[in-house]
This record gives sequence, C-alpha cells and structure tokens, in this order.
Amino acid sequence: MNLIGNWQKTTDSECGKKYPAAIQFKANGLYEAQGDPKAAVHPTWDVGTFKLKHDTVSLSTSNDAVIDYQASEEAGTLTFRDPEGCTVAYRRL
Amino acid sequence: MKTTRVNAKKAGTTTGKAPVGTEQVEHSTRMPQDGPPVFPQLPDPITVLPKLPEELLRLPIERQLELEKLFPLKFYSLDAGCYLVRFNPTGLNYHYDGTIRVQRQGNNTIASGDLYQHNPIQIWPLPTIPVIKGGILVPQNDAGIFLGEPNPANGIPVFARSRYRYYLRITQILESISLSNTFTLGFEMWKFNGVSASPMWTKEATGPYQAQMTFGTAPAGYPAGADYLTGPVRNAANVVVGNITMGRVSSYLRKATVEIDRVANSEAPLDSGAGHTWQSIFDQVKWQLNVVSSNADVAEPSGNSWSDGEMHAAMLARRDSANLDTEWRYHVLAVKRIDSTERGIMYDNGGTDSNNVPREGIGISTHWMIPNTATWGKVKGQRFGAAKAPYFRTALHEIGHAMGLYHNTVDMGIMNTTDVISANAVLPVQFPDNIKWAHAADDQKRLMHMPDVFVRPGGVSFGTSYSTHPLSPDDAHEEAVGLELHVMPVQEVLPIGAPVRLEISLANTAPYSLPAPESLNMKYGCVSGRVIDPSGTVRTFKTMLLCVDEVQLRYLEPGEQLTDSLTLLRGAEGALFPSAGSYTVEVEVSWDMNGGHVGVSGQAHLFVTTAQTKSHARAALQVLSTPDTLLSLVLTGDHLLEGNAAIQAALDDKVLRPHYAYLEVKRLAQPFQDRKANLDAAADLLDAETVMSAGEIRKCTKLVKQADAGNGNGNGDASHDSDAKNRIAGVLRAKTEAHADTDSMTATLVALS
Repeated sequence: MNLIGNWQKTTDSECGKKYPAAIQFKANGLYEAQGDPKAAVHPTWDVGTFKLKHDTVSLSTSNDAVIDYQASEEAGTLTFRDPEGCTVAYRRL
Repeated sequence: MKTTRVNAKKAGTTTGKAPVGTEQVEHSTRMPQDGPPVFPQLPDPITVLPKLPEELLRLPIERQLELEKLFPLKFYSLDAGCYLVRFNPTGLNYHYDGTIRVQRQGNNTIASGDLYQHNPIQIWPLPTIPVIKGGILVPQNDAGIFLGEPNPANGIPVFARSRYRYYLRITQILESISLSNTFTLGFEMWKFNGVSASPMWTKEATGPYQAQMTFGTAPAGYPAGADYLTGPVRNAANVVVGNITMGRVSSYLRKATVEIDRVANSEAPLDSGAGHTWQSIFDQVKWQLNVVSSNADVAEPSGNSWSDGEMHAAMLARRDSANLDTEWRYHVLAVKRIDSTERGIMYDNGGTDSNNVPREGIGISTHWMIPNTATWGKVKGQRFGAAKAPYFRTALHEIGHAMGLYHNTVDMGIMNTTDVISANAVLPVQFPDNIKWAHAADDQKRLMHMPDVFVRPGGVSFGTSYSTHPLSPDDAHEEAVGLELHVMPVQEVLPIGAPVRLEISLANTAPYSLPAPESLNMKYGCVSGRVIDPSGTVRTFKTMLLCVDEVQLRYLEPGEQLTDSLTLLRGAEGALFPSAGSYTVEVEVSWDMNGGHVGVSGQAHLFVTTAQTKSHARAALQVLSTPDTLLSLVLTGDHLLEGNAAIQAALDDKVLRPHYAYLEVKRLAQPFQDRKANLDAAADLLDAETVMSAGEIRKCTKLVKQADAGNGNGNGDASHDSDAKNRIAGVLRAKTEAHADTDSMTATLVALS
C-alpha cells in the first residue's frame, strides 16, 4: 500500500462527513488535509503525522490524538475504516 | 471579452471588442452567499478616515493631551481594550450585558462584541439594605448589586453561557481622534440559536444598526478616566430600537485562568526557557491570563500512561474551581505518558467527556522521549518535559485547541504541529529555534474576535467549523436571478507557486433579456471574489486597475453568455494560494442598478500540490513572497525589477516554467522604452506545455500582431525573424484547437495566419 500522494474523497456518507475532502500524504510522514469549506464540522484529519503498518494507518487527528484506521488500497482507491466502523474512500489524484 | 450563445458553440458571435485577459486583485467588501450561514464573518479592519490633518492623527496620545492643554479644544479618542456594554432594547423588560472588544491594528481598528441576556428580578423600587463597608454598616442602594449587574471594578466581566444571545460584528467606530464628542457605532447583530441549531447563527433582519455614541463621565466603579459612552440605537429603517452604553474596563480584550496540575516528577509547563511565558504569548492577543500552578501530586490511576477519560476525571477531581459561568478556566494536566498520543492532547472534545462540557482541559506528556534523529535538532534524544521550549509550546498548542483553534500551517506558530515545525527547520537553524512564539495572524484574530462561545471553555464543541462560508455584510445585495456564473479552472491541479487561471462565463438562462455588465474584464470593477485556503482562511481579490467608475450595462439575450479569463496570484491579504491543499475559489460578478446592488456568483475547486523539488520550492517561495510579481503579471514592464526577477526564477524551474512562460512572453512581445518587442525570445518561451487561458491566447495574438506590424508603443519595428511569428502562431493554434471555445478563438487567430 502506497499512501504517498494526493487523494480526493469519493465517499458521501453521513459518517464520513467528518473526514476531509482531500488529503496529501507526504514522504516525510506528514499529511495535510482539506475539509469542505462549507462543512459544518472541522475535519478530523487536518494536519499531522501518519504511519503505515501492515493494513493499519495511524493518523494524528485534529485534537492531536493518534487513531488507528484499517486501510486498503486497490485500483487507485484508498479506503479507511475508523474505530466506529465508518468507511471512507479516496481516489488518487 | 467576447460573447457567445449558450448551447450554440458553432453559432458564436463576437462583439469585436479587444481581447482581454487576466488582471485581478485586492480586497472585496462584498461576498457571495451560498448555503446556510453558520458563522458570522469576523469584523473587517475599519480604516482611518482622516477628518483632521494627517499630522495630527499621527501624534501620540501624550502629544494630543499636551495640545489639549495648549488649545481650548477637546480631542476624543476611543482607547483599545475591553468595554463593558449594556444594550437596553426599547419596550422590553430585560436587557443585554456583554463586552465590546476594540483592537488597534496599525492605523485600523477592529471591533467585535458579545451580548448575554439579563432578565433582572423586578424588585424596583429597591429596598435599602445595610452592608458592611470599612467595618461599619452603611445603607446600600446600588441597583447594580441587587440586579446582578456586572461590576466594572472587576475588570473584564464573565457571563453565564446559558445567557449567550448575540455576536456583534462592528462595522463602524471612532477610528482615531476627533474634535467631536460623538461618533457613530455601526454594527450587525448575529443571534446565536444554540450549539445544535441549524443555522447556528441568524443575522438580525432589521439591521445593520447604528448608535450615535456620546462621550460622558464614567460612573463609579470604572477605572479612573475610563472612556464611557452612551447612545440611542437605530435600526436600518432609522427607528430607535434601544439604548447602548459602553465603558472601558480593561486594556485587555479577554481574560482567562490556566490551572496547571501535575503528577509527581512531571514538570509544569510554565515557560520556554527563553523568555516566553503564558502571559507574554497571550499579550499578543490581548488576553489577560492568570496562570495557577496548583496540584503537584495528582495520583496516577493505572500506571504512568493516562487515557483521555482518566485525564478528564482527574481534572474534575483536582481542579481548584469549576464554575465556567464566572471564570474562563482551562486546565492543564502534566503526566508522564498519554495513551493516545506522544506529546499532548486536547482530550476534552466530547468523546470521552463525562460531564458533557467541551474544551475544558488538555493533557501533556513529560516522559515521551524525543527521537534521537537530526529532525529534532537541539532536543533530540531528550525527555520531553526536560526540553522546555517544545514542551511549553505543546502546552500552548493544546490550550489553543481548548480555545477553539485548529491546526494552522501558515507559519511555524503556536497552532502548527510540532512534527511540521521540526521537519521544516532549515540549517543552520535547528528545531526548536525555528518555533515562532506567536499565534498565526488569522488565529490571533480568532482569539480576539471570535464569538465568546467559540473560545470560552464549555462553549461550542471542538470540531465545530468556523471556516464555513462567511456571510455577506451587504444586506442590499440581490441575486441576479436568471443569470448564472460558471467558473472553470484551466488546471484543477497545479503546483504551488503557479498562478491560478480561471475561465468565467456569465450566461442568461432566462427566456427573456436581462441586464448584465458589458464586460467581465476585472479592470471594469464588477468582478471580484475570494479564495478559501486549506485552513479555511479567506482571502479576497478584486481589480488593482479600475478603468471606469461604473460598469457599463447591456442586455444579455436569452441563451447568450459573456466569457472572460482571470489569472489569480495575490490579493489584499497576500498570496492567494500560499500552501498546498484544496482550495475553493468564489467569483462574484456584481453591479449597481436601480439604486440597489445586483450580483451572481460561481465557484470552482482546485488542488495545489507541494513543492516537487528544491528548485521548485525556492522559485515558489520567491514568487509567493514578492508582491511585485502581481504587478508584473498585471501591468507588465521592464521597470518592475523585483516582480520580473521572481518570474525569471519561476522560468528557471522546470515545474513552474510552463505556468509563467506566457507572462514573460507578454513582456517580451511588447516594446518598453528603448527596447523593441522581441518575438524571437517570446517564441523560444512558448511551447505546448505553456499554460494559458483563453484570454491570454487572445492577448498573445494581439501582441504578436502589434509587434509584427512594428507599431508597438510607437517604438519602431519589432526584433524578430520571420519564423518567430509563425512559431508563436503554431503554438497558439494548437492550444486553440484544444480549447472548448475553439471557434471563436480560431477566428481571433485568423489574422495571424
């Protein structure tokens, strides 16, 4: 699984609204994300660190907590599953 | 500019007007509105409008006071700081108490306020009750005491959260000094509907409001010599709706307490070790902080690593006081390790919150070991609590979250993350010496002017977005129903440092003719807009070259559309696209007619990628940090040395070169003073990779024709071989064929062939 690069959210579910519209994973282990400017909530992922271990991505979140997400990548689509079971997908830009 | 008909590509007609391109910039006071408003726009700076000689305005207050002694004139000015305010609405048996914050920013003033409902117990006439003063009983008939009015002697007042009602967005105030003892206070009132209401905020429809404020003498209880003003409040219909008083109670804008508790052997984060303290940091945002280093013996519940819930429980059990309706108290708990993160966390955001009160407390870890790698510079391998600077910074950062701030990467300031700051240290400067000991400018404004409920503990939950669409301050704005504005980026993904090119089209979708601007060229002043960056910061743009005072109108036939191009780089607030991430660009076309203001808006989304190479980073830094790059983009000329140098730096970088090549072509293709137009050099720059908008293709065509005719600026023939024009024409033709608006553009190019 290669996270490095720019990703755009394709999921439009209610539970996925707290996740950003776009995210960029950088080679130095940092990420920067962008929420929908009109969203009612600040994105859970905004700026922080990420670590990939097997199929788990540990992301630091907007309040600095580090959360583990189950992740998979297939055909340019990156899918995360959060601890509450919400699934959110991104396509590579 | 040109016109075509919607859905009639082949039948496009041209007006024969000169092709136009680009041009942009500066500040717009009018914003398009889209979607439900959830957050009032923070107040804009109110610029000084000199009514007195400029020399006088520049005088320091001490000199003004000297002048007052010398001349029988009284000068009035409004001191910065926090004002206790009371708004008595006409005909109601309750009133509103609150604060107004007046901030000086250079020559500008920014002001905002918050109102809390106060429904006094109706006990008037008041009984005379004896109270002890100076050891003796004296009759007490201060109505304020009985009615629970805030006491100005206590400084900045604190009100109950449940009484929060209004945010005041102040649009007019006394900016500097005046010979008059009155001035107009203009403001909008935004009603807070509750944390779970949708919309959360509603702008009072009878506003904006104006109060004719008159300086008076402050009553007892106010600091000596405090500014104190009263005035009737009128609504937009000029009807008096109440009375307002405001008296200055502090030079600070807000006040709060930070209590620090810790487990044994964990350090209290009190300072940076280099002179930065809580108060010195918060002096910059005019917060008065009372820092209390309290319990040093908090027990560890389950080993040395704490869960969020355990930290929250310890806060509830050990903090010195807990009434957030009388004190804004934030809690810091220093522990050895934290389960959910390495350094620090604002754990109190709801998920683990047992008292359903958000943003009260943070945790910080003293025994995390900083990695022993070069990234961590001078503190590598150290225990975090012993690394005073980054440890203290993390405490400031987490408290920033408790104050409602989110991560902010615009600089190396308080709300950026430690990881980003350490990763961005550039030798010889090592982390943590690259920490900026201040909040970023936009966060400073938030701390000073966000509604109370966003910053005070126990207010709205962490995660409530304040980046949602700011609201239009223009009540008179009407949507031009029947017209649609389409905004299309030439490139949706582009590298940092590149200008953003947009194609815009204004279409009449109504079955009848509608008035519209004759041109969408920015220089006519009817096109403006704003850019929302990845952190939610809004930057505005409008023309920097206004050609006429009023835009000319014409009727747009059914199905007809106007098109034009914009190139965006900088606005009034600096670079419009200063960081990587996803942006929203909103463009508004607006004009005055029939005594009102009409407009239509559209938006586009685009993504800016990070620097791909060191060369790219250097070039991007130069174009983004050079204000004159915009002048070179808009005005063009050899005299714009700094702007041209920045463009040259971009041309020297292979990533940015395609985005800036045309800008240099535009300069070279025009004569300048003794220099002739140089089509050879221009032709060498243009190739298939060059990024150009439709407007730029037309402009280029025009320039080449002028240069070829040897009439450019009356400076004689152009310098080029016969092949240059054909090479340029070939590139432009290829671009034209790839463009959606092929037909009309081909017609434009015919003359070149």
